[in-house]
Amino acid sequence: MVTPDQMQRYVTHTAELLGLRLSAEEYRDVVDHLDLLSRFADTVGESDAEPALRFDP
Amino acid sequence: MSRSSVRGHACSLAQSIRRAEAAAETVVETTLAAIAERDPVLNAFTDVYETSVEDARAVDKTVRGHGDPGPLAGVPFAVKNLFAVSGSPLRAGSLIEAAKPVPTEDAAMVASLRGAGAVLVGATNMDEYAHGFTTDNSHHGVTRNPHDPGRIAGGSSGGSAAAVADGLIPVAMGSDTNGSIRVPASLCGVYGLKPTFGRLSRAGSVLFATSLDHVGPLTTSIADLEQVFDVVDGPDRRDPVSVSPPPDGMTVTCGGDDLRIAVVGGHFRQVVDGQAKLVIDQIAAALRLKGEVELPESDRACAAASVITAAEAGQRHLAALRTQAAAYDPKVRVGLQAGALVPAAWYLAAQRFRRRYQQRVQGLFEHVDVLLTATTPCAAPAVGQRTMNVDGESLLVGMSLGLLTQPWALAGVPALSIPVVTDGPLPIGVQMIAAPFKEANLFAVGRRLEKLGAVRKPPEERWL
Repeated sequence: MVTPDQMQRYVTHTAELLGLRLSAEEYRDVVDHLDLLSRFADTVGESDAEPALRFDP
Repeated sequence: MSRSSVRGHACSLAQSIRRAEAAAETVVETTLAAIAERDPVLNAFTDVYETSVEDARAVDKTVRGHGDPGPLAGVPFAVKNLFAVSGSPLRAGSLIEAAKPVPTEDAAMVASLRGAGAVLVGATNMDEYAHGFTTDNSHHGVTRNPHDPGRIAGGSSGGSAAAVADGLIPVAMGSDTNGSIRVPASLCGVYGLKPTFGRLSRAGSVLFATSLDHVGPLTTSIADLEQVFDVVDGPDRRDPVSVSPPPDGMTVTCGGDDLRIAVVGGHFRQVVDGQAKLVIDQIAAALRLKGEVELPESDRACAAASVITAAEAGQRHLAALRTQAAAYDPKVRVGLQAGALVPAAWYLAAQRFRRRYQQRVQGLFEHVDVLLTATTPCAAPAVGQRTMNVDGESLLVGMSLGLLTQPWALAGVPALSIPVVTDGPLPIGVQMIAAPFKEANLFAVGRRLEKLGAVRKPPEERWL
C-alpha cells in the first residue's frame, strides 16, 4: 500500500522528471487519480506469466 | 456463411439501389435533411459532409451504366471522428488533433466501406481521445440519448450509437478500448461489435491505448452487421497489431443451432441492477439455458485494463501534456497526466495478469461456444449524473459503465452487444462473447434471438 505522503512525493518528483507542470488543482487531482490507479495495481497483484505486450489471440 | 433471415436496413437499401428501385442521391439528400432536423437535439455529429451527395450521384451513375456499385451501394454511414477522412479535419474529440494538417487519405475502415459503395455523410461526437464512457465532450458538447434526451448516449462512440439508434443512418463505425462501442450500443439500443483484437484494421485512426484499441461497426440488425463485417474484415500491414484470421474464420461452430451457450456468473452477476439482471434472465429463458459458468478474477481484469489504459494513453500524450496541457478537456487531462506517471512495475504486472486471464478465458471456450452477460450495469444515466446505484452500491458513472465490457477487451476476444426487448422505455443490451476469430458464432446466436423476437425493434428509417 502506498501512503498519502509517499504518493505526494512520488507525484512531485516524477512530474518534474517527466517535465510535466501541474497547477495546484491539477496536482491534487493527479494525486487522487494516481491513488486510485495504485489501488487497481494492488488489486491486480503479482503474477509470473509473461507480459502480454504484443497481444495475439 | 449462413445469412440472417431478417433483412437489415442497410442490406435492403443497398438492394433497392442496386436494382435502381431507389436513387442513392435521394437517400443521401433525405439523410442530410434528417440530420439537420434531429442533430440540434442529439448532437451526434461534429461534421456533416454535404459533398456526400456527389458520392451518391456516382453510385447512381454506376447503376445506370450496369456496373457493380458494391454490396453497400448508396448506404449512408458515419464514423466516430477519430477515423481519418481525406480532406476533412481529424478531431478525435480534441482541439489539438483538429489543429493538425487535414488528412490526405481515408482510414482503412472508411476506405473499405466507400469501396463497397457506402456513402460517408458525417463524423460523430466522442469523448476527447476516447477517454470516457459518456460522450460529454467539453469542446463539442454532450451527445444525448434518442430514447430520452435527458440521458447520455454512453461513450466513447456515443455519437455513432445515437445516430444509428435515431434512424439517421443504418451503419456507423466506432472504436472500443474498454467498451466504447458496446456501452453506447447498449444504452442506445443498437448492435455493437468489438471484434477479435487485431482483426479489423486501425490504420488511419487516432489510437488511445494501443494494446487494447479495437475498431468495429454499429448497426440495427445482424444482417447489416454481417454485411459490414464482410466488407471491412481482413489483415492490414499498416496496423502493427493486425492479424490474419484462420481459414475457418467465418465458420459457425457446430452449424449454429447446436452452439453451447452459457451465462457468466460471479462478477458479471454482481455489478448489475435489476433491469440488467432481468434481461439476462429473459435471454437465458428464450435460449433455454441452464446454469452458469464462472470466470474468476474478472474484477482484477477490470483493474488491469484500467492500469494498462492509463499508462499507454498517458505515455502517448506526454509530449503534448508538456506543451499544450491547457488545450485538453480538463477531466481528460488529469487522467492522462496521472497515466503518464504510472510506474512500469504496475503496468508490467497488469500485462502479466492479462496473459493469465486471457488463458483462463480461452479455457472456457473448450466447454462453451458463446458466453452471455449484460453489456452495461444499468440503462442510460442522466446527463451530468456522477454516480449510479447498482445493487445497493454507489458507483462512479464515468468509471463503472465499462465494468462488464473491460474484461473481454483485455482478453481480446470478440464481443457483441445486442439490443433486447425491455419493459421500460430505456434500452439495455446483452453481451455475447466468443473465442478468438469466432465472430460467426455471435452472429448465429444473434440471428436466433432475432427469430425468437427477443431483440428490440429497429428504429424508423429516416432516410426513406
